[in-house]
Amino acid sequence: MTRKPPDRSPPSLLLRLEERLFRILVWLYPGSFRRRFGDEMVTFFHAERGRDRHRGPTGALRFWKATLADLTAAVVRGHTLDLPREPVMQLTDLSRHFARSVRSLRRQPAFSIAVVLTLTVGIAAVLVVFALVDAALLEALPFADGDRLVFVQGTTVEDRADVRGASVPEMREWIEQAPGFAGMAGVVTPSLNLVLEDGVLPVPSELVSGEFFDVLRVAPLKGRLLGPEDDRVPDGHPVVVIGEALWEEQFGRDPDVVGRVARFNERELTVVGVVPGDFGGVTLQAQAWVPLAMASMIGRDVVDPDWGNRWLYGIARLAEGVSLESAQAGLDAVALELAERRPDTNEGRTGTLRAARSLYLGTAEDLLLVLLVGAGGLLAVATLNAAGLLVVKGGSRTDEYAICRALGASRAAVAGRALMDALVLAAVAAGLAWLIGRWTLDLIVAWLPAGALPDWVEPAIDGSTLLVTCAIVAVSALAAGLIPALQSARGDLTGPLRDVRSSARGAAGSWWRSPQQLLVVGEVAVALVLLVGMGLMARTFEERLGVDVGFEPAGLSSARIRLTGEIAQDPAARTAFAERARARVAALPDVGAVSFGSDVPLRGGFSASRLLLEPENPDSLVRYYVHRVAPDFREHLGVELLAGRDITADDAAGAPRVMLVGRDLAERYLGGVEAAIGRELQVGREDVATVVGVVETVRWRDLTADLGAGEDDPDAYFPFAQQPAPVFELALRVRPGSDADLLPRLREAVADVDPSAAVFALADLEEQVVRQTAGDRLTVTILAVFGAAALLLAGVAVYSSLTNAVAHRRREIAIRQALGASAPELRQAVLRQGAGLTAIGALVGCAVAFALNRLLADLLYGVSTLDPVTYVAVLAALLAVALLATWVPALRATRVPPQSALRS
Amino acid sequence: MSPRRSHRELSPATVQILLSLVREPLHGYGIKLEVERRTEGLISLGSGTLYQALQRLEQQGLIAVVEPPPAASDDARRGRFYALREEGRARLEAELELLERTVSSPAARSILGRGRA
Repeated sequence: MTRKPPDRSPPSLLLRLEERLFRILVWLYPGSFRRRFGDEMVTFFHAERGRDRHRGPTGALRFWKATLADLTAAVVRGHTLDLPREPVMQLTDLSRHFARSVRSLRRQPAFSIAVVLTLTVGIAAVLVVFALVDAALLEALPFADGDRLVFVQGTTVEDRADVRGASVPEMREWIEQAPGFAGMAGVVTPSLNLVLEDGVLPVPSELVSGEFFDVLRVAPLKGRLLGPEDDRVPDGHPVVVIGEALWEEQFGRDPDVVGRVARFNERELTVVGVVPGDFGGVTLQAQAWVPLAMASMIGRDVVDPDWGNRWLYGIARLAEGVSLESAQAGLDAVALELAERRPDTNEGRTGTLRAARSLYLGTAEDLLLVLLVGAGGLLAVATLNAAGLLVVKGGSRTDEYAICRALGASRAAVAGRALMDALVLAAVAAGLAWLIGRWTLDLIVAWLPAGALPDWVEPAIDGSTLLVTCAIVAVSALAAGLIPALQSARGDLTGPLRDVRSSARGAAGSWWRSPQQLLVVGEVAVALVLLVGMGLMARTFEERLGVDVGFEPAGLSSARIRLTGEIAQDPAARTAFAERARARVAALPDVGAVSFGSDVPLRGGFSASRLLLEPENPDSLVRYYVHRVAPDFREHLGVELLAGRDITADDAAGAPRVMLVGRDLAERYLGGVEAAIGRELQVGREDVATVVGVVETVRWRDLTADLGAGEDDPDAYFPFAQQPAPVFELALRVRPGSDADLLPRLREAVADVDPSAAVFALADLEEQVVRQTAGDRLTVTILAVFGAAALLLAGVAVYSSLTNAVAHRRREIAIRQALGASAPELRQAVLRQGAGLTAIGALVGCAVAFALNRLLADLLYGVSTLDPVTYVAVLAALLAVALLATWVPALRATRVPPQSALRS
Repeated sequence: MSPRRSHRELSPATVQILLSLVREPLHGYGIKLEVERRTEGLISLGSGTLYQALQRLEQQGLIAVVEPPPAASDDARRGRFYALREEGRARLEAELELLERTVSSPAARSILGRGRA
């Protein structure tokens, strides 16, 4: 495998901007250090930024987080520890300035508190979201160099989103031929039954090819791990590696466990090693690993001369310096060559790679990035708000600055004072934000249902998060303090102070020269962009969460049953067992009606197949999901029957083959609900089934599939009795409050019928719905909070701007009153100004929103980027808040007593 | 203001940096990669930390800037190359001896021995 030549293409605009930013940050170091090492640091920046692990938005985040943390610490260290020859900042002076700022800010509590609260809102938002992003996207996975791991799934060239398994020989071909990998292994992840003295324990397991432990780079705790020598002969390697937890619980931490024999799925396997407790395989919770060669244990055959049985997927490690994209291209090339050699089985097929982290997080990845942008936007609004407040305060201090200047202080010193005020306030806000942030984060983690986030995600505000936040706070403070600082430095020294006062605040009518009003317009614009983005996301979630699941999850639980032994071999015996198990379980107190089927919605375990719409016509191929159900299953789940009839007890083995189809299948392929009845579809090599009924579409699979994914394949239902499965689900209606010992009682009941059957995976379906939608609901809630905060801040900005304007134009108002202006006229003048500011801000915001929201397009579902409802709603909200904000200043305008104003 | 650490003590990151220069002179990023490789990613030096450490080591006379070795690629030549001086080698040796004595002590052995098959 040759290394890629270094990338010599010219740097992109984004990279040049990033370099510019880095150079600015380098400027913060002490002068001598900067002059000596500055260039080297920029070279270092390019080398580090170009590495694979920093590709993509997540990679960029990871890079900047590390860079900012390192920089903040080093800058502080550089200025405080080393002997400064030409110090940039003088410490003793700094502490004096600091104390002076604190004193003067304490004398204006209302103003100081207002700025602190404003900044706290923005900083806390960023802190909380960044902690979540860090824990999920940036922290290491529970594998060695986990970000180089990718999952390999079989798919078709034309629709890569349609993932299914790969066949054993196909995977072997990929493992041996595909370039760009430092190892690939095949995996399948069943649950195996460990036979104990008093019953059967289901153990989450993984059947793995010989390369597996090498790819994942695991070291054994005891004994050895599986290797290529355990994967040669089909069925010839009865060995198992167990997890530390299983060793503890079922083998009593026996120091001589290596060599002991354990019975899994009726097979005797010899324990050859133990893995440490922090390794859970690719499922993150496996406790047993068996060679793939032993796949007959789960009814699969590793010998597949037809290459047609696709039940395997793969885990691979990208080679050093190889990106996911180039590895994917390499895999595609191998698949293409394979398709040419074996067109009948591999035409149009290939493998798709997906980063392990991305697969584990699912939609959470996108949701977190959306939240991060939202938090950033809120911080921007808060900063602008603080800047506005500081400008107003600066305006009222112009005489103080003028006196300072007259006494000989330089412009820089005066500007520095204003900046110091901003920094002090920002520091207090940061402290407050840290407290609120920690509390909020704990609240969120407690609220999230178990399993909503993968186990290895542990949100916390750690050292580097704090360092990065400090950097952000410093930037925010400087931004907030910049305009007041400039304003103070610019203050005119000549002329009477009164003139200085009015010119610094902007005369009536020439509002665009007033920095404060510009800030208000800017803040309204940013708030609008933020609100529109959030509104679109909220609509998307509403669409997704609002989709009818198609069945009644309330009070419904399910448990999986796996048959092994003789009963599993005979189809008739399976059906008989299912019926008896159902009856036995239904007899339990606290359990209501019971039914059974090959799988239940939202619990996985589904299988896909193909049917022909027109028998013998290969072009009419449709992919669909198969479900084998008992006669009362549909009714039990509360799925509506739309046409025709349900499956009955008469549709038994030997009777004519019948099937039900979902509404989506009927409408997409059979010409509608009514037209589907009576159609004959070819469902096997020679099997034809008649459609006897159509049922409502059910959400069988993940409720929140990846944002932006296309339509899923439809579902069809067959009588269980005609094709009974050895693994199936009991669906039971359970009286609330009876869960505590339900599983043991279920096991007892089922063991009565047949002791070799294992019962496991008891789940409450309503909880499943809650858990799968938790991410969406949390994001919507957080976005709503951000939106409300942004609206509030925008309102505060408008309010303070107008209050300021009214307060400083008392003379003009008094004159107008003396000349006969009525109260309503005065109020309207204020209202007009407020509405004007808001309108201009809204216009600018809309323009920016149109441009930026194209970036959101991939994440939206059921709503377009230019959705009028969202825009109108946001505009209406902004207008309402602005009008509210102008009300008090408008009232105040009419209450100015003319004589006192004219006198002042 | 005097440096907070006394001359006698080398931080773990500093030891790693000096170790990277034992065989051949390296430029800044090369040192970072070598440290990352040796510690399997556990120590990841940022540019600020690294160059501050290099500055300190230079001031203490333990490393020096040298001509880039002839084998270096054109890209690499753009930065300065650092080499271990005799004083640096001696300091490193002293530090590693201390570490070795620590690691081979009975207490340390008992910790390192746990968890092995």
